[in-house]
Amino acid sequence: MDTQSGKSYHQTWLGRWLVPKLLKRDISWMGVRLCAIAAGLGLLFAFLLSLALPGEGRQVYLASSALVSAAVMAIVFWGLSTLIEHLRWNRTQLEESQRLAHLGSWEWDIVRNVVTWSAELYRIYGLDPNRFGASYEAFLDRVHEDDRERIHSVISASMQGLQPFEFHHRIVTPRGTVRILHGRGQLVLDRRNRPMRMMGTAQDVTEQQEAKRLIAEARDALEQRVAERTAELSAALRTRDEFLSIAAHELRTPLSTLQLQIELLLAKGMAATSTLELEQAVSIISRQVQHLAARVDGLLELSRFSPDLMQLKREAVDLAGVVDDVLVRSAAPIERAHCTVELDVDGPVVGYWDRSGLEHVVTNLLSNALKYGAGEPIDIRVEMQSDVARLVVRDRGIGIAEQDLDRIFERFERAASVRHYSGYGVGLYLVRQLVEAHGGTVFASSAPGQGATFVVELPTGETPADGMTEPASTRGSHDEHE
Amino acid sequence: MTNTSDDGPPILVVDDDEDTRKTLRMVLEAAGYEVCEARDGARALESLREGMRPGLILLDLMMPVVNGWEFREQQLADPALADIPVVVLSAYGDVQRTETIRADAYLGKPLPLNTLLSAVRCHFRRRR
Repeated sequence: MDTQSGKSYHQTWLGRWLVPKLLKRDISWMGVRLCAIAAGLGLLFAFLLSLALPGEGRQVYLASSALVSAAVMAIVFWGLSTLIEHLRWNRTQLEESQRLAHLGSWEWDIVRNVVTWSAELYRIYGLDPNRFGASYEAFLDRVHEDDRERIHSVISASMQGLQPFEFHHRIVTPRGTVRILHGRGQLVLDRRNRPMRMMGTAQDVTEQQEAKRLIAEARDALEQRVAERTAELSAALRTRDEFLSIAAHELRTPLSTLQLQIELLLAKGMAATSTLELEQAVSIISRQVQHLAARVDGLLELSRFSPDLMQLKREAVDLAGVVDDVLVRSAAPIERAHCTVELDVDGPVVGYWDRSGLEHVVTNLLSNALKYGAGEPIDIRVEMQSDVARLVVRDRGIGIAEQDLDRIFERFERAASVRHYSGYGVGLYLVRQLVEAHGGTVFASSAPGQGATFVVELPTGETPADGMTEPASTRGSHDEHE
Repeated sequence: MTNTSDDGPPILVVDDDEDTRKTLRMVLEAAGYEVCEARDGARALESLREGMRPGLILLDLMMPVVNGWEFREQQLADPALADIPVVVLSAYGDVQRTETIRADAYLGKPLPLNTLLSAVRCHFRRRR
């Protein structure tokens, strides 16, 4: 495309001197014409005068006149052509910048009702300059029908109020595409302040508008995500605060008993304390210290058993043996809860599991049964059913409502209300984490007032390469498998 | 230890933890009071309705079956029981929630022996 036709006046010395003068707005072109006529008349006069001169003198005079006029004409034409070239360059610049900016310009001669459009404006509208009769009506025709009335009223208001205008509107190209234009216009008034001409621009801002819309959408989506995340965090914080207050309660209770017992002993003095009283006091103190220690361990366990950190150390483990061990160790709490435990086992139930994890599961289910089913018998059954080990713990306590049967396995959840039962509410959560880490399942079935039954199902797991060995009676044996 | 006269009414200790009850019993008996125990709000109400009239009730809040709040509600609703003084003794942390119970005093666990005894002395009411 011949975009660089024409030369800027900057490029020649003559141009730099002559063209700005010629381009000055206040040059009176009438004056220039008069000067040209005067110069012409002067030359004519000089020529006629030379005719009056005798012989030789005339020739010289004629020759030098001819030379001078030729020189003058050369300068004038050279200047003119420079000017014309510059103008051509200028126009190319203008067209190019319009093209780059997707901005077209137009002018409306109101008096004669003639509309002229720049080349870029035709391009924006997708119209052929040769076939499109530019007029105000034709322009309105291309405006999207929903915007037409508004545009017309804005332009009319501008003409009445003699004010410039600005608007966005849609157009429909002949091919049917819709573009968004940003239009501006202003009036040129005649000497009687009546609208003589209107001129303006129209810029295709479709992409910018689209980008704006996408940004607004993205921002809304982001704000919504922030709101959601904030709600999540608030809920998590509330849960944590609830947990902390429960934990504080759990630690303060044994501390209080400890403090009272010790202060009582000190206040009475050894002399006034019988041996029996001393024994009683010391056994209570010792028990409370154990409780405290257990509570503190419970707190630490929470971080240790977080799902990302759950790493199992598998070895051959007899589940029935684990249950037995836990029952032996829990003799005192069982008695204090006034419960009896019936263990139903057919024989060893061996799998490739994490021993301490299983201990934790059994201990937790048992203490749950003791807490909520106090004063009633508890049944525990351990069996193997086609490569899946099954542990069933049944209590006859207050039971669990149906809608809570799954919720109780969530962190910090307790189906009984907070105000009735103290306790961290994380035991069952950890049980589920541990069981599922083994690839097993744990669920509860119950009805309020009818006790609860917890069932753990564990696949036996992969055996070590050298086959399943006898379940180890001490922990040390797991070294063989590494 | 200060001694009060032995023929006064008992103090009713309501708490689900056995060691807590035992300890409170030891402390109060050493101070000369008679002590009765109840392991939850329901048992406490039972004893009261059977005719027991303690000079003071030491009340825990977190208990199964009938907790401290529910016990107090029912106690206040019964004109025969309403004026028995109640001192709450609990490790429960939410102060606003506990104030709703309208007890004569609120003691938080753990607490020094002397604090406990002065509160008891202050609110214990011997009748006739």
